[in-house]
Amino acid sequence: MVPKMILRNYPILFIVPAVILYTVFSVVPSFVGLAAAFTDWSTFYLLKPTYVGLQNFKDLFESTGFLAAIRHTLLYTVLHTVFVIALGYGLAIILNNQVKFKNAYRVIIFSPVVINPLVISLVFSALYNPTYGPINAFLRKIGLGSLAQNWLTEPKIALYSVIIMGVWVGLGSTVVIFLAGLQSVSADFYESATIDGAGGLKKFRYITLPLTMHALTINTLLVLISGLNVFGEVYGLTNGGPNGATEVFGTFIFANFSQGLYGYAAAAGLVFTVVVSISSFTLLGLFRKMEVEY
Amino acid sequence: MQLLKRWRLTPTRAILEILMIVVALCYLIPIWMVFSNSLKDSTGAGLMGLTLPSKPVWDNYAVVFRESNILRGLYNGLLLGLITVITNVVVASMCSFYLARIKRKISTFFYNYFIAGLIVPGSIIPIYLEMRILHLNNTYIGLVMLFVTATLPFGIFLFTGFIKTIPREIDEAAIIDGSNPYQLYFRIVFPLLKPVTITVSIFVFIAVWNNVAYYLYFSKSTQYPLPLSIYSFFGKYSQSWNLVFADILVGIVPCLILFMFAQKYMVSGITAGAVKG
Repeated sequence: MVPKMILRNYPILFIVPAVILYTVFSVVPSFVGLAAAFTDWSTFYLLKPTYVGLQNFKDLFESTGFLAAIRHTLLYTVLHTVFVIALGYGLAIILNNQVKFKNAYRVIIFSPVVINPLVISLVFSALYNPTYGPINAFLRKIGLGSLAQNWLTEPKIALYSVIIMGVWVGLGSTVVIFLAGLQSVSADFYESATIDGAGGLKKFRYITLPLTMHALTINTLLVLISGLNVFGEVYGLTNGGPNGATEVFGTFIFANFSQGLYGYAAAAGLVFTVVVSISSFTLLGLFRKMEVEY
Repeated sequence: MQLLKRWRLTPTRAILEILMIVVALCYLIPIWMVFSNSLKDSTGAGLMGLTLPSKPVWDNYAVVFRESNILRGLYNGLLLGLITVITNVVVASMCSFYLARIKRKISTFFYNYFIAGLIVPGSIIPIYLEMRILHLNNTYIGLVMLFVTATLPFGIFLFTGFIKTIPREIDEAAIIDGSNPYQLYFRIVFPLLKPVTITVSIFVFIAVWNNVAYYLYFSKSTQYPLPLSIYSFFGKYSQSWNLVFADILVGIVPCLILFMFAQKYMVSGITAGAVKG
């Protein structure tokens, strides 16, 4: 028990600024959003929204745009997560095995973290340029000209082009977390395994994987959340186009907000919040159960 | 023993080395494309070749400094970033000090209250309504409030974890020596938080610098930081890739230089937060 005389020195006043700020600018809006989603609030009725019941949600799920945005967001999130985690884990294992200049590689892969996604998307729109862009130029030069694509204007491909850029951006922090996890695994485990005659695959299955499970779960959760929240990358590269082929939650809400349909956009935002919260908390619960202590 | 082994080139190792070089090129070629084409005329840059021009057009940079709002963007970005960082560090660390030291239900409740913000996304449309009612739309102070709020959960997460590792005996010694709560916090505890303060500051600054949505929703173009001003510049000069590339380079070189110094702290911060957490 800590004596009263000590406890008096942690005044509750210390948490007041944080609680006020967070409540006013984060929690209150969430509840207001709950209410606004059931109104016809827009630029036309800016100060006098009327209650319209479930009309916004009905409109949302009847419009093809919204369902497509949900589908694209989920597809983006799944592919982004799978590729970032798989490539990140692989690269971290390679870097952990005494490749020369490993710190330089780590810094290079990590560096996009300080560049705004809008700026990166400008660079990528040049790389993806169908006529002169370096990607198509390279493909033609090595005789694979048939693989050259209209990366951003062909509806079937555009979303994958955005995903490739997302993976390029997101790989760095994933590699850093995996590397830290791998470095915390003691070399003794591998030595005893070698003496016992375990091969590379067995070492991975029985030593590396279980001991880096925590890094794996944290990484998956972080990448998943960033995937669901994707906005700047899509806004900058395609802004939902061509013809809605890359529309995600973020761009869908912004487009409707720009048209002044606030109640409608708030309803879309509410669905988004629910989808993100449910998927993240479910995954978090799942991971808590999976982790092992050594 | 592993460390004493001499580095030898085996076939597997050669493949891995080549693989890493290819990966590194995937990151370096885009930067090289930006640099080499920023020195061409607009026809040359439109071809997006990767060779350096025989006659570099340094004038592109002069044009960009004249036509693009580089200084304005730098001022906005630094002002908003630094004020948000300072506010976040003070507010989050004080709050965490209470949450880490007081072991009552109220601490657990408020800790979870804040940490939920790491997962649940902010409701952007209602925030817009609230900002209009409070007349904070398109103001610097409004943006700072939103950025501090958005980064608060992350700050409280790292600060609380760190303060729990500082022995309470330090507080008790200071109290017995006659410190009041504010002296205890600002003179004794806060200086001990230096490593985590550096990490939080860097991540919060980057979050503000790289934000897109809040600027698009809640600010006007004169308040745009450097990255968004580059994007607006592209809107006006999309036919002159040489100028766009020069603007991009001016915008990212300071970030990359700062990154060289900061990445050590970022790595240790991520590691402390994610791996041991």
